[in-house]
Amino acid sequence: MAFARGSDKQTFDGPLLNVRNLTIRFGGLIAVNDVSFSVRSGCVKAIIGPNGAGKTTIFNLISGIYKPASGEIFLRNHRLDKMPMHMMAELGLSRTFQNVQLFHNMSVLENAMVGCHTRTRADLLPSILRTPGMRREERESRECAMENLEKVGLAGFADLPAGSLPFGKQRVLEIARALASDPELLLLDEPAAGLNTTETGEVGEIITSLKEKGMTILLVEHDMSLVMNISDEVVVVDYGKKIAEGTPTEVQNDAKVVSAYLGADLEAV
Amino acid sequence: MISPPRFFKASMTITEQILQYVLSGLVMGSSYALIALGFTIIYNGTNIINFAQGEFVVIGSLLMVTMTEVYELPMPLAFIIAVAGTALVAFALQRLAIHPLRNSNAMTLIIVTIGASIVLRGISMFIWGKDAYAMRHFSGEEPIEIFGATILPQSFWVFGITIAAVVLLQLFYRKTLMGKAMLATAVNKTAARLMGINVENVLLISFVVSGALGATAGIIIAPLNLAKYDAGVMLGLKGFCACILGGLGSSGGAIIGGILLGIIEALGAGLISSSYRDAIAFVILLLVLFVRPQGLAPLKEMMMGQEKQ
Amino acid sequence: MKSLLKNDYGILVALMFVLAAPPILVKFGAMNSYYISILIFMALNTMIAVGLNLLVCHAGQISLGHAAFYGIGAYTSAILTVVYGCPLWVDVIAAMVLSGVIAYLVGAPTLKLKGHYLAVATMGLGIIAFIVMNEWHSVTEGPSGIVGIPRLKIFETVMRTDMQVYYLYWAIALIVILVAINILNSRVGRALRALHGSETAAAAMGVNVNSYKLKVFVISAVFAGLAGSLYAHYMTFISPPSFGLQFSIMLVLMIIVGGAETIWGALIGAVLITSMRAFLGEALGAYKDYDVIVYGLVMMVVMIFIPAGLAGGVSIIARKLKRGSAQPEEIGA
Repeated sequence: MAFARGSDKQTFDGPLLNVRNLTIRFGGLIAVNDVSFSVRSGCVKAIIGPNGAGKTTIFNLISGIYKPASGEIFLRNHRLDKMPMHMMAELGLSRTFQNVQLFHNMSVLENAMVGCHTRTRADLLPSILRTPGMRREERESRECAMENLEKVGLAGFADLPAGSLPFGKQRVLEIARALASDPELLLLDEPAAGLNTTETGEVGEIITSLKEKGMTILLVEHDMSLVMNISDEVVVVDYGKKIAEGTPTEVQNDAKVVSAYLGADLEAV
Repeated sequence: MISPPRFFKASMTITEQILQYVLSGLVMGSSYALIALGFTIIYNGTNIINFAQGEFVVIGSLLMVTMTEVYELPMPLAFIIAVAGTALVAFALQRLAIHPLRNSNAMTLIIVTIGASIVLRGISMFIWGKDAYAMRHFSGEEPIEIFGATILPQSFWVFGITIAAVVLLQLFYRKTLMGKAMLATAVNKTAARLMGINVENVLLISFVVSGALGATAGIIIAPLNLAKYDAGVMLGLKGFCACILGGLGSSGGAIIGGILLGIIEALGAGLISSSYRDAIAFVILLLVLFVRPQGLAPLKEMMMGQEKQ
Repeated sequence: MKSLLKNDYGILVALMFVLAAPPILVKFGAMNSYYISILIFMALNTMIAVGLNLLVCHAGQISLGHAAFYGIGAYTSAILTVVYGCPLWVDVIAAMVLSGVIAYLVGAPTLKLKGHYLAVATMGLGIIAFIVMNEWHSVTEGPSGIVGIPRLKIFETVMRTDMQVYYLYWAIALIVILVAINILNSRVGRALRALHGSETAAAAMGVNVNSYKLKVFVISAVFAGLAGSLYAHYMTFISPPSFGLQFSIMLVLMIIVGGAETIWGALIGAVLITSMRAFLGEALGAYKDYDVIVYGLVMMVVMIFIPAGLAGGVSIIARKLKRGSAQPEEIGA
């Protein structure tokens, strides 16, 4: 019972993630203005746009760090925007952070084990008494965490403190931690930020292999070659508004997108 | 440690009693307001709750006693020396204990201020002993009667000096470069630093000003309350309750919170139970935290449409 | 022995052996029996410190009013047994439950707030509790306190001698430590450490941050309530001064001195500060009233120079030594 998610995967046939008319203001600034898009199950979708366009804000709205001024966010038929963050993880939403937020006070393995939090139940009393059920869960968590570390090539580092890993590996560990929760939707916030070319290549491979296994991924990314390689669909935002949506090729040829990038940030293209 | 309202006549009507409580509440409230302002200044600069604030109050009042009773200096001179001496203690505290930890988290700093308060209290006990000192009133001790309630001349000194301190503080904020730098630092430390403000100096001055305010609070009520080495614990903590009541971080809130707390305390002690007098402030503290943790400050903002967010 | 000390359970077993020594020393006259009563206080303080350690280290919050829970535990047991003739041990459970419930009521609203409001609220609670103990004469007997609290019994054996109490209380202290270790080595412990590392990331992984903070605060209060109840049964007399702000600060000092890095910091802190309280006054002679200056200085000096506390300092040094001898090569990859 411990490791099964009682989900309604089969009974719902709309898009996995549905974002409708999302708006948020910071003071007088409208950071995200009436943005709508959806993510189909099994699809890798990227949100791109010039610096300060509101990409990460959209991400933080979806994952619950900000609450929208108006608009709705649905994961299948569950409304996310009124929900506390920890409940979203229960529903199968898992994310990484642009500025890597690992638990530095814990080992690599333990970080991944925290990922199993929503898939286990043992609370205070069973933990204090170390009941057989609790110990079984611990074993399962450990195995599941190890499995996910293997997926991203970190199994050899399991017992090191997370803070001692080089930055590239920390990013990858964040992905493993998110995967350990067995998410339905994985949110990757600039997975290549701060990485060198080799490391970016490794992250690209990990994402591709996840995609082959059918994982649904939504990501924000600056590295255009990575985005164009791995994404099925792309949403382009500028000044908080959605200006284009489509396949990577369609978007690259969109006049509005070209002008937004040429006008704002040449190097990013 | 805070004596119940004195000069009670046997035959007071309930309105007269209430007026009497409100008057004595205003007196205590004024000193809470100054103590609360001291907390606010340090909190805005450093984000720490300075648990040594109450010791500033006591050191101020004990210095004043020594200057007036032992050295028999004239009141104004003694006042200046006591305030400056306490400000010096605050200066030393910031340099020796807070400054070396400027990169630590708020919790560490809060604990250091607790340690500092214990040390300062111990030193006060060493210097002044465990006795409670009576202090001369600033001018006459003959109670004045207003509408059936009585008030001591010292109370007018308390009101006057409190108002003067608040006005001076405002002038300091609005007219001096250092004052403006302090306001800017309170709003955004990083931005202030980028604008070329020497934040380290601002934090140091925050402690000095806060020490001076604490001392002033202690001095003006010393004639009404006796001065004793350990009185700072309660005075400090009640000043802090006033901060929370007014909204932590708001200067206006600190003043209003202090005065309100003084009045509620006096009314509560007089009308309900004087043995639970000292508990009233803390019950208010818990109630505010449970029901309205932002305190009263946002109310005022809504009404006046100003102040920083 | 060396490998035994590598994990927490091993240290716990080793500690059991160490604790068997003092009674033997007393028996052969190598130790004054007065020290046994100090060791009993160490057991009580260890129980409270362990709970506070969980709170500070894992919820990143501090309580400035834990003496209140200690007092609530003591007064609950005293009133239940002396006034109502409540069966022994039932009152101990009641003391723990009441401390936990009050912690819940105070913690639930305040732990939702950002910042150190728990410290402020617990301080307020501590002062209110102290005033109530002094003023609510009809229930607490006011400043004169409650006398005639019975010693605990195991089956029909009354814990009459200090030696019996010593064994019983340290056994309970070890159980408290075991409970804490078990919590830390579990899903709950991981969640707590995670939220101390990054609250946002912990929430994103499904950890209900507020609920875990509240749980650990309630646990710490329950431990303090237990210690208070046992204190009442050992002293057989209680009065308010044992439960004031000063004791709350002493508890904080234990955590600071021991360090919050490991659960053993709580034990080290409790042992050191309890000994200090027992011997410092004597050592200062005529100046014994000024012992507070020493405590205040210790608090400041530890925070300024060894913020990780003694246990933390030792474990950091140990880690450095270990790393020096066997540097894992792949880290630099």
